Amino acid sequence: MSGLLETLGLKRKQPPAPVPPPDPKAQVIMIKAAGASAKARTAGVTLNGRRDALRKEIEDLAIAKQYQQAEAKLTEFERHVDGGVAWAGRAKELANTRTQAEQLQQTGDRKAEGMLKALAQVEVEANALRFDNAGKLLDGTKAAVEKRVPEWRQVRLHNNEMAKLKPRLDNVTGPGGIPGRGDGGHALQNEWQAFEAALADCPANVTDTIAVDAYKLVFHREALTKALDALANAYGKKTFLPGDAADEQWGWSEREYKARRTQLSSLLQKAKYVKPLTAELEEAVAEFAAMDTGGATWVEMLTKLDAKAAKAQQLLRMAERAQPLPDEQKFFAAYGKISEWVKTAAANDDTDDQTKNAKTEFNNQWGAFREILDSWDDDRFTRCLEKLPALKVAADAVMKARRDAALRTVDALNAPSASSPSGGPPVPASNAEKNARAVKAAIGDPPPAGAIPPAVLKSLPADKKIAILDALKAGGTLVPFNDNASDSAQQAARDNPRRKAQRAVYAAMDLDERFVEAEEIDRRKVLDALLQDKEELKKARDEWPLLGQDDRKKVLEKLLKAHCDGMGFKAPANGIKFEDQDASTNGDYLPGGDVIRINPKSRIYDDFELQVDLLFHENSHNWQGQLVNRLDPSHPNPLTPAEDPPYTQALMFQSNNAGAEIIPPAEDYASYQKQPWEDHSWSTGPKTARMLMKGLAT
Amino acid sequence: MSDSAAPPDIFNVYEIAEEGGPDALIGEAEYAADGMLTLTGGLPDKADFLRDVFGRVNAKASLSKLIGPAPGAERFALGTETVTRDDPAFFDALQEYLTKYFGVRLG
Repeated sequence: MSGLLETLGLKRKQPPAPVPPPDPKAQVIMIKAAGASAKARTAGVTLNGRRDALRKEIEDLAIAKQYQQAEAKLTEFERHVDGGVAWAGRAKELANTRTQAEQLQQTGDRKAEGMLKALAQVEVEANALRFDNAGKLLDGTKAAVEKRVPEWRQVRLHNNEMAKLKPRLDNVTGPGGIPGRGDGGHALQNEWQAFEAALADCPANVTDTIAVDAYKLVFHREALTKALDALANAYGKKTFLPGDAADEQWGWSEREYKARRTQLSSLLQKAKYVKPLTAELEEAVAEFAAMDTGGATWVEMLTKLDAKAAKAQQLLRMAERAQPLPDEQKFFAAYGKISEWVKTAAANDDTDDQTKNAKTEFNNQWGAFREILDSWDDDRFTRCLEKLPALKVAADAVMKARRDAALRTVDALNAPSASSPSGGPPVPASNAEKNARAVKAAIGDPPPAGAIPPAVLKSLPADKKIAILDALKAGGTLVPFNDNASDSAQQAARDNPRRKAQRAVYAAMDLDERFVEAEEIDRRKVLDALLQDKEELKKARDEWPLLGQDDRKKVLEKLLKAHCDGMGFKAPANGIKFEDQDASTNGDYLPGGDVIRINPKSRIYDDFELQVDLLFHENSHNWQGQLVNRLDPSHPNPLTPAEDPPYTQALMFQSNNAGAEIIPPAEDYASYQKQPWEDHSWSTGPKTARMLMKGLAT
Repeated sequence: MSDSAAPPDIFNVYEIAEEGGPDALIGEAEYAADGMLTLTGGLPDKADFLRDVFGRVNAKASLSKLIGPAPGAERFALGTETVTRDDPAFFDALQEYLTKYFGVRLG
C-alpha cells in the first residue's frame, strides 16, 4: 500500500500509537503484508496489461493472414445466417398464408389452399437448406478447434481456474485491496513471492495458444448469436406449418439446434474463459507449431501451469480474508485523477502574496485531507472522498494565482529600479537589473527560488516569453556560445545563468498552434501540386542514385517551387546550388547568400528521402528568415498583428534570430532542436517529406 | 537449428495516425537477421504501399538520419548519422526511418 500512496503523492505517516501498544509480531506481519500488497498490485497490473495486450492482439488478428480463411468462412456463414434471418422475418407473412389457407379450406377452395401450402413448403425447404449450410460451416469451425482437444482439455481446467481467480485477484491486488489486514500477512508475502516465481517460469504461450482458437470462436460469436436467435424465432413459429413433412423438418431443426447450441455454447464458454488470460499472440502462434509435435513440452508446461494456479489459489484464499473497505477503491480512482495536479499545487516555495494566500487555503484543505487519510479509521476513505472536491478547488486556486503571479513577474521585468528613491522620480531599471530579473523569472536565483514554474511558464502567451528573452538580452551583453572554444570555456558558457535562462524559455516556447495548423493546410497544397507529376517524381525517386547532378537539381527545384508556392513564400534568390563540402555536412541554407547548398560529397547524397527532408528543412529556414524580415515596418510587405498567423510565430523566430540568441548543438543538443527556428525546421522537414513519400508510394 | 540461422521476427505493421488517435494495423512483416523486411500479410488496399516502402528500405545498404551541424559548420547545416545493417542499432534506425518518412512502424 505504501508504494501506491507514494505514487499518488501521499506519503503515509506512521499510524497513531494504538492503545494498548501494538504487538510487535502484528507489526511485522503488517509491514510484510504491505510489501506483499505492493507485489500483488504489480502482478495485478502485469496481468491486466497482458489481458489488454491480448485484447488488442485479438482485434488485430482480424487482418492476419492466418485468419483470412476463417474470415472468408465467416462471411459465407453470415450470408447463410442472413438468409435464415430474412426467412424468419417472413414467418409473419407465412402465418398470414396459413390463415388464408385455413379460410380457403373452410370455403372449399382446395386448389388455392394447395398452392399456398406448396409455397410455404418451398420456403421451409429453402430455409432448411440455408441452415444446413450454415451448420456445416459451424461444424467445420468446431472441428478445426477440436482438432486440438487433447491439449485443450488439459489446459482448459487450469485456465478456467485462473479465469475464476482473476476477479478475485483484482479485488485483492487492485487499488482498493488491503491484503494482509487480518492474520494472513506474513504467509501472504511468502506465498506471493512463490506465486510470482511460478508466474515468471510459466511461459505465457500456454494460455496464448488457447486464445488462438478461442479467438476463432469469439469471432463467430456474434454470427452464432444471430443464427441461434433466428433458429429460435423460426422454431417458435412452427405451429403454422401443416403436414407431416414440415413436422419432420422441424424435428430435424430442433434436434440440430439443441445439439449444436450445446456444443457451441460449451466452446464459447471456453473461449470466454481463456480470452482474458493471454498475451503475445504472435509468439504463441509460433510456439504452438513447435509444441504441437511434441507432447513433452506440453506436459512440462502444464506442470508449471499447475504450480501457478495452485499458488494463486492459495494466495487468494488468504488474501480474501481481508476485504477492501467500502469506498476505498472509489477514493483511489478519484484521487488518482487529480493527484498530479494536487502535487503540482503542493510543490513550490511560493513567495507571491496572492499565491501564498491561495496556498494557505490549499494547505488547510490538504492538511485536513491528510489527517483523515493518515488515520486508521475505518471510514477514512469515505471521508477523504468527501474532501476531494474542496481540495481540487483549492489546488485550482493555487495554480491560477501562480499564473497570475507569473504574468505580474513578466510585466515587472522592465519596471523602475528597486533603488529608486522614495518620493522621488522612479529610476529606470538598469540592463543588469533586467538581466537579473529575467534570470530569476526563468530559472530562479538561486535556482529555483523565485522562478516561474516550468509548467506555468509554458502556459504563458508567446509575448510574455519573448519579454523574458528581451530582458535577458538587455544591454547586448549576453555572450554567444562558441563551439570552437576550449572545453572549459564551453562549459562556462553552458553554465552561464543567462544562457541557462534562455534555454529554459526556449524549452517552454512551443510553436504557435495556429501557425502549425495553417501550415498543415498549406502542406496539402504542396502535395497536391507535386502529385500532378507523380509518375515523374516516382521515377526520379527510384532512379535517384543514378541521376546526374543536373537531373537531381531539376527534381529538387520542382520540390522547392511547390513548397514555396504552397506555403506562400519566396524561393531563395539564388536557388539551389550543388557545392562540394566536407562529407560531414549534407547541405545548408545560407541566409547571407540566400541559397540552399547541397553537398554531392555527403553520405546521404544518394538517399532520396533524406535529400527531400534536407531540402524542406533548409527551405523552411529560408521561410523563417523572410517572416522575420517582414517584421521590419519598412519592409515592402510588412507583417502586422492583423496577419496572425504567422505574426506571433514570426516574433518567436525574431527572438531566436542571431548571435547570442542561437543555441548551437554543442551547447545543448535538446535546446538546439527546441529553439524556434530549429523547432520548426525539424518538425516541418520530415512532415513534408513524409507526406510526399506516402503520396509517391501509394 | 544453428544460432546463425535464427528465424525471422514477425511484426505487425501499423500506419501512424498523423492527427492523434490509435495507429491502424495494416499488415504483417518478417524482419530478417540482415534487416530485410518481407510483407507476409495485410490489408489488400495497403499491400502495394507496404511493398513499395519495404522495397525502398531493403534497397539501402545502411540507414542514415539527419543531425545538427558539426562544430564550426554553418548555423543551418545538417550532418549525418549512419547505421549499417550489421549494427545492433539497425532495427531502431529502421523504425525511425519508417516512422519519419513513411508514417509506418513495426510493432
